[in-house]
Amino acid sequence: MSDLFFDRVHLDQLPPPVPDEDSQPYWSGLARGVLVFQRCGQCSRSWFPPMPRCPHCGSDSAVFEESSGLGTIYTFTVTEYVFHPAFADRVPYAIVTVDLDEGPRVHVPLRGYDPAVGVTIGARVRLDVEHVGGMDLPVATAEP
Amino acid sequence: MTGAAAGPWGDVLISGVGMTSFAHNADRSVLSLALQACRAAVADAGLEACDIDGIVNYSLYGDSVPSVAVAGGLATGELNYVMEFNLGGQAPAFMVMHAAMAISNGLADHVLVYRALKGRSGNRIGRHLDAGGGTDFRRFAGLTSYPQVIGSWIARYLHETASTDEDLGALVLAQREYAVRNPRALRRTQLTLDQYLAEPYITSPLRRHDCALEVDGAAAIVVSRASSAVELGRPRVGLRGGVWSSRHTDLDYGGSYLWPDYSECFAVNAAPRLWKQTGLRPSDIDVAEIYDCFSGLALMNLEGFGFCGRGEAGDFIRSGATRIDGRLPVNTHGGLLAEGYLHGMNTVIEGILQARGDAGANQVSDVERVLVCSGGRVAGSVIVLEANG
Repeated sequence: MSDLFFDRVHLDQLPPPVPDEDSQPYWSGLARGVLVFQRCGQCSRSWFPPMPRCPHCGSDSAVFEESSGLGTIYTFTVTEYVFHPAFADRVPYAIVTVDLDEGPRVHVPLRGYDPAVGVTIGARVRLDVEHVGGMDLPVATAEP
Repeated sequence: MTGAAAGPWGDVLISGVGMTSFAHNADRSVLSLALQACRAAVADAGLEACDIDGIVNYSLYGDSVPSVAVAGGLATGELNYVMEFNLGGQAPAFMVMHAAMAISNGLADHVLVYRALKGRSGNRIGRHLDAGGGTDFRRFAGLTSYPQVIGSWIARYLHETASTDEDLGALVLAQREYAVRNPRALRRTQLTLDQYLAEPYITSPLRRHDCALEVDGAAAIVVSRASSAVELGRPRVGLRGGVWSSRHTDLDYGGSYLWPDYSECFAVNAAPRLWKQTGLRPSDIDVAEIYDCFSGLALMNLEGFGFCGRGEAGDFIRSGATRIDGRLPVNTHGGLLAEGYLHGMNTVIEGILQARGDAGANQVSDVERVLVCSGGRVAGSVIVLEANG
């Protein structure tokens, strides 16, 4: 039995992404199996999601970097209710908001969520990419 | 105090309000709802539609009707000022400020503000998922609906402040107490804490009673130049001040990637400016109508504006402070949680009714100043209404 998060998500029921000039490096990164974020060449601060200029200082010297995937759970919600039919066979599932070690904050599903164990703010996770249904999408798994 | 309020909009009054009833499935168009509320507000101000010379409104994802249609349907005179905003729950208090600005700057005399939507039977904004833009980065995480975004925020609030589900429940119960006495409210059954806690999470730590009840309906407000307002023999309501605040925003309002601390909201940025602008302190406020699209955001707003200490909102509510005879009655209509989610415009109207003594069974005695806030995360607006006797 597969334990991929997206195996039980009906991805074809979600509107597909619309990559643009700003977000294409994000989708290309996932296709290579990595999560990318941006860092400012001027003030050195990092951020997500992709934007044309640094949201911290306004500089246009943004450079994409690859994340190690390591991060800490900042917060989470466990969704029991089916808000969208794409997730009808997935509930209950946990969405974790992760502060990557490199700085940026991202929202990703937690693979292997176990209601008996729950989710702990401050716990360490590692992000990787699932290749399912023709898409490449980030998920988090608990770090031992 | 007599005459109009001091401050930036001393020459402005809130002259009229109007609302439709709230429904799960209105049997009329959004435009028809808008016109019903607008006509009621104009009549309440003692005016005729031809007196209206300005319109300010907001919509989200095209869920409302434009000012041209409303002006046409009302048969207003020539409009000297219009402004249409693409905003959400941050907007209602700001709409009143904006109307006041148009008047203070001499562009109009009677500005109509409205919000109309079929938020229940039509376009449910909390579930809106445009492809492209910011939602591309959270849609596939399963973050498809607004309660999930808020659930994440409130989980962090509980964690940071050692608050509990019981604190969220305290707010829900306190507001329900008002709703039971409010004939406009849709959730009018008193809840017990046990009943609240027995409900399952829909998305933790939110239960259904923590979420505003989406409705179909419309609400409208007329803002007038004080010297042009009709004397109606009731307390006049002035606008003591108001501020907008948004910070650390990114591609859409659902991501909040850049807002550093999910345990506090825009109120921490807006409050210092509001108190400085108005020369008031939290203790000068008699009633607070606080944005509560979700229970926990109202707790953050209460703390952010300084009505109680950080992490103390639950205790503040349990002390009885927010009851009708408490030192700061809060959300005297039952809030968006219980009256209905007219996107916060109904909350502004409740504040106006309190200031002029027309709030029915939930009227607080001796109201001089009402704080109304709109919004509960990275962006919002807040006004102080003043009863001028």
